[in-house]
Amino acid sequence: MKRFLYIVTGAIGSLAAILSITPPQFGGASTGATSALGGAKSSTSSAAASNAAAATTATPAAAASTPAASSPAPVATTKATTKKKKKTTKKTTTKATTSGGTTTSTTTTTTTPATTAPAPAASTPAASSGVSGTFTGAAYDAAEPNGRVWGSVSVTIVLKNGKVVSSTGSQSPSSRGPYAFSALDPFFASNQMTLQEIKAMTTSSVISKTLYVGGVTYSSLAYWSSVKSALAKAGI
Amino acid sequence: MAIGKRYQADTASIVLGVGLGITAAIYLESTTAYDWSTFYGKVLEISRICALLGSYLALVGLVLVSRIHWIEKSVGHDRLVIWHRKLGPYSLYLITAHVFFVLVGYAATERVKLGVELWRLITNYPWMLPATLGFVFFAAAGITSYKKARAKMSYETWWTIHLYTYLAVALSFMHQVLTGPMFLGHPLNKLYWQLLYIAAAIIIITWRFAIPTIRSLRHNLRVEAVVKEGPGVYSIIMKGRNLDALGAQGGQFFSWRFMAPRQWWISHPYSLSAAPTNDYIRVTVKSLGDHSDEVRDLKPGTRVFFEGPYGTFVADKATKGHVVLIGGGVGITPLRALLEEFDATKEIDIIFRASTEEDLVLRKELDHIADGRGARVHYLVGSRKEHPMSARYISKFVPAFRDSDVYVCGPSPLVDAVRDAAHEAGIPKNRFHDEAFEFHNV
Repeated sequence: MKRFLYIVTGAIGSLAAILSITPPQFGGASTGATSALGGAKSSTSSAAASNAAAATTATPAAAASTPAASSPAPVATTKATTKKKKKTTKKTTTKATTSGGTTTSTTTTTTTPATTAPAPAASTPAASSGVSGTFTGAAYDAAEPNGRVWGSVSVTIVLKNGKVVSSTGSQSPSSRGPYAFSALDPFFASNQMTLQEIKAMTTSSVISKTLYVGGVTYSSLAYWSSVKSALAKAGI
Repeated sequence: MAIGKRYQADTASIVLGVGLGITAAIYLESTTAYDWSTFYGKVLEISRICALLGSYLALVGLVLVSRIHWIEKSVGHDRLVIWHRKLGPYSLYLITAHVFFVLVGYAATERVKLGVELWRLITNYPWMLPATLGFVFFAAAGITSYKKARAKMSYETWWTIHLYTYLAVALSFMHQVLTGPMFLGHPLNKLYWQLLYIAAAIIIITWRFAIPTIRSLRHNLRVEAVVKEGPGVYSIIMKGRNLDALGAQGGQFFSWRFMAPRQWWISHPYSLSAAPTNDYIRVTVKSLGDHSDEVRDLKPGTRVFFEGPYGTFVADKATKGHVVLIGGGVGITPLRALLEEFDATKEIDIIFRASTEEDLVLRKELDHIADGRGARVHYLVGSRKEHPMSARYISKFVPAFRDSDVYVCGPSPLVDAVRDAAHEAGIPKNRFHDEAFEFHNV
């Protein structure tokens, strides 16, 4: 009985000690989630969240202006660094998947077009509002903030009258590509999403939709970047 | 001395608790509100908690029976085995829950059937096939340890299956650090987890393998003779070098490994059947399992590897001036060894239960020692009905029963009956000492 108390005391003590040294990022992430679900349009309460949204919405705009997957690196990186500074610098390494970390990782993924493959796979030229055709986005590295790369991701989308009817990702080398994409493909291709909605998505909304596919955060961010690149090629 | 011993076990408990706390902390450090935002997200998060706790408890379970001598000395091997047995099922439940929830969580997320999801998990995640195998081994060890299953198989079969637990734990490690969200991108969490496994591996290799091997070689124990004592009962006399250094006492047991063909791979727990000397050690064995004939056929000169001594079934646990030793069948052997250990001031009664006269093994020795020191031996031969081991019945032979220390060794029903009798007679727990055969078997 006494030893049981020792065990409990030891457990609570060490748990409390660790949590007080590095508080969990649970709450911090939830602010991001709220803003993410509301999308970029909705007014966000947290300054950090709107900052993140601004950083990410800047990317497709820059990409759209140039047909190929040009790198909007400078803009995004500066945003990332300012955000990093707001958070305690120590945590950027350990808390990679938490809110602070995700923003960092996003910028990494979006800013590094891995193998700049601007293969213009557009079979049908963009005509008017109702764009149709098959477009392949540039390849992006699914990179963790710690430098680990889960292969580079490229997405081919099929548009019909301005709507995504199918979306197929490929990853090379495919570490766990098929697994991740079985959740991502239907998500981007489902009819419930219009192009505007896809474009208006924020980093956190991508993550919140796909995070329960554990550990594919980086793949999904690269996937999303490639989708935007494909849309840019379609001239949308 | 006693305080020092207790202090060591307390330290071990605190270390165990701290580990549990850190394990919980690495989860809390890595989880976010996103993870908990959807129903199946919650399912997956619960599965991860189950996985962390289950793995931690599995490691603790292995370490508990890794024969760390200062923990063994302070807690007692039997008690550690009991904890190991209590903990084991929980770690299996938790890991089973992890497998189930992961499967359900991902299958629901991806909207596929469970079978399809199982295939995807195994084929698309790194190290998932070894982890799945590990789970199968782990579950097999758990199921075969379940009382009803355990009773249906030989000690050797059970033991071999149980041995695979080490492999199971090792196989599951890589999928944890390569796919676990609490480790990906969390280098400190990963470091802790790696250190945890390395520490467990070092403990097991040191205490379970290296130290017993070195000691066995140093004492150079070899079979001297095998003597028949009764139907199916044999004494193995072993000769070694400087055996006093082992500090073994009558009443304790060792885990023995006879280095003969077909036997070297498995060890057996046998109690000493005589107080050890500096040169000789004796055990007396009833052939119960598949092992039977092999004991009889042991050749003199066969090298013996051993682990031990184990057990707190020893003379200095007695607090009263009167001692009652109750043995059933071959369970008399540790009591026979104990009998030599009590000092002359103790008054001793021995109750020897057996179903037939033939089963009264070591009878001559018992009588001889009893005569020499004035102890009484009561031979109760017959069925359980003839000799109900109740407080009243025992008191018929030993009037001072309620005012004595009780030592009992034998089959579980006898031990249970005597425990009830002792309770009935108002004998406190610290004066009741038991050694049920089954507790040796880890």
